[in-house]
Amino acid sequence: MTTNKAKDRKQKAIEKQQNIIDALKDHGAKVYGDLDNGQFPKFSIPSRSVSNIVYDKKLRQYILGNSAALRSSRNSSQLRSFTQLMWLAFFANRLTHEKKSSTLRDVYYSSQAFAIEFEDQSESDNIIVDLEAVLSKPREDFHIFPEERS
Amino acid sequence: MSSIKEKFNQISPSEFFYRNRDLAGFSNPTRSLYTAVREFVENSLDACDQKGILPDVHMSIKAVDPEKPDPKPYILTVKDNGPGIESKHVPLAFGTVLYGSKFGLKQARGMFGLGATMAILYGQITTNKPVLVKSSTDGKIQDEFELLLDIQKNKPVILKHTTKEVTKQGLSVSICLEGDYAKAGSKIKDYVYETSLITPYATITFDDPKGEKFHYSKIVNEMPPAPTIIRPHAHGIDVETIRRMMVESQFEIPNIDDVMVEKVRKDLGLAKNNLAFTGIMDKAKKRWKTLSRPVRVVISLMSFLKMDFDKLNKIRIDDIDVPNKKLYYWDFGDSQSKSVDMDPESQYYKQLTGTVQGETLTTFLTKRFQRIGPSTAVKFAEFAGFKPEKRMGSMTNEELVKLSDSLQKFEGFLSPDPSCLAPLGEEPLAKGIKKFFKPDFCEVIQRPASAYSGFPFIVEMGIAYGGEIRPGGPHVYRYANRIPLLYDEGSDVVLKVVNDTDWSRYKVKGEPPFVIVTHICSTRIPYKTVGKENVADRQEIERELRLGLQFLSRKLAAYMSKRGQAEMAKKRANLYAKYLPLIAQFCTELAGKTKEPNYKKLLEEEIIVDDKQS
Repeated sequence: MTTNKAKDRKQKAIEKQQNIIDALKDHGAKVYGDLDNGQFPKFSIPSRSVSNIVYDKKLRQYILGNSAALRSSRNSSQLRSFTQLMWLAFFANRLTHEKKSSTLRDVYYSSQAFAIEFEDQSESDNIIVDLEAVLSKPREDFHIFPEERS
Repeated sequence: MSSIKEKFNQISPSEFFYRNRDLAGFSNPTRSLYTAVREFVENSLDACDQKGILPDVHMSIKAVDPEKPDPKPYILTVKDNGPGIESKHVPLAFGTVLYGSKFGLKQARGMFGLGATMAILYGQITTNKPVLVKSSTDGKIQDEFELLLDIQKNKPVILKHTTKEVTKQGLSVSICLEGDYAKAGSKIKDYVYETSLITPYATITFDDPKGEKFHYSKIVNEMPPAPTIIRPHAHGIDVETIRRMMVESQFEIPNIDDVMVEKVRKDLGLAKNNLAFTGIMDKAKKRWKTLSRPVRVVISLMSFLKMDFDKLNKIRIDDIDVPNKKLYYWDFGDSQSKSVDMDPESQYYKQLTGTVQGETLTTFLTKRFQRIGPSTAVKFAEFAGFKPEKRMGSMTNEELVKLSDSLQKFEGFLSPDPSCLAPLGEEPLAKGIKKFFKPDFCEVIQRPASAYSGFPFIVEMGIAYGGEIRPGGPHVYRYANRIPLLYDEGSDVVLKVVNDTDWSRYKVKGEPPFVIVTHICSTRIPYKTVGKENVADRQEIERELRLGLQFLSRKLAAYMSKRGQAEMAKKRANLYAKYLPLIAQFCTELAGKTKEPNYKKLLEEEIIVDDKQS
């Protein structure tokens, strides 16, 4: 039983990983396609404002509603955060593939290796939340944790 | 009682200016050197302007003894390619105060030819050296004079006069004067620089005492149209001017000589037969309407003299005394002065008084002033309370004052004729500004002519931004009648207008690199001081300056916002160039591809958008 249960959990974890990888790949392919077609790629990011938080009776928790903001690379004021988001997706993809994990702080520092500038950690934290919203998955799913895991 | 008797004596103009030399800008060695430079250069430019010659002015200042500390004697030489001065006028022109050719009513840099003589006078009193003048009017023979001024007599003293053959016409003046180049140098350099900006059609070179050479070649090859001498405007007149004009307006009594008598005979149809006095008068009466004024005058005189042509030949008319109704003449036969009474009722009397008393008020106004027609003249006469047919010669002093006052007050006159002005023109001004400041943006405007108290004026302005202009602007370059104004900037009307402008409204911020050039042309610039350095804030001039500046500022604002847009677009293009490759890199790996997407198209598209905007 226990082995079964453990197997089950492991199976679930692998499935989860695959879901994340697929989702990231989907987004990557979409952006790739846009660029290749001479279009400015964009993300739809669910709004996290109070008005967009609704209670889901089935899940018995609060979830994000339908309203979403568009982050386009065409808009020069959004270009930077768009790139940051792209980078984070790219970084998360690597983490997941390599089965490594990272912390919020580590993400902030890792960005520097890719010429991605975050003003401070809170900016990178925000982008992480953005990615959570885009993928509708908690950050732990793509191997980013608040604290170093012992 | 005081025992000292006061002595009264008259001083000559030279003496007056010798004693009051600071009036003309010769107060100290620094200022004097600068003023002397100005006077000579401006005379050269004026002379060339008048003859339509593209000026080529060469100036040099050399220290007599370079080792001595300032102030010390310098030799100032200014040479031009102008028309020169005729040999007979040279001594008077350079050796007499207030002798000149510039008294006419039109725009020129100098007004009276006073300055150059003042410089010579100053040189003479500080170094006791003569002035050296070389002049050639035909480009073949050159007259060389060495002159001193006799200050007390206001007369030139010729020390030496030689002639020699040359190949170029022009004038060269060389004086020795005490100056302080160490202090005046920067002003003189500024002056030369700024002069060449406002006279882009002139070539100016300057060799300074330290061996530095400054050369400003002409940038345009066409002279701006020369101003014309015009009649005065009614608003700019005073009693003395009216009096002088009246003298011109009165007709001389014709000289009765053989030629005149022949003419009268011919006009009366009496060329052959000789009629007696009464016969002549009858004939004249019949033909009166066809006779010319001089003939009528002669007939009128004959009517009172009761003489025929033979007798008329033996006398000379001396005077017509209108108030006492007497006619004086000299009888050659008896060798004595005689007089006859004139009958005031006679039509001949009216003819004579008309001649002696000059034109009627309306004729006087229409003929002697600019832009007054017969109907305006009649309206004015009504306004001033004179009969339109009132003879100018019959006006009393009080009436003249009243006339002069009314001329200034009457508002029915047209505004003054600007044809006596010589603005530079928009194109040469813009060329000059572009050449001198190498700006990114330049705009000029010539305002329509306007007038203040009877003097016409035109305001020209230019504005330039960016390029090689140093920051910390606006830098204001002021000109009046093509003279740069360098001193006393603070109290000038131009600066007042510039400082009143809120530049942030025109999108000019911080320490902007920009230049404002203003040029006021007028037959009389209302300088605040005799030194000709700052223009008084006459309301009319201020208004024109303000309107001109506002126009230019709006153009500048349009340019600035365009410039801002272009800068923004450039920034954006840079952003795309920086981030798009990153996005491409990340998504390639995310999508599991090996080749990067072709995002170059997007960058190119951005650049095209930029081009459209800028």
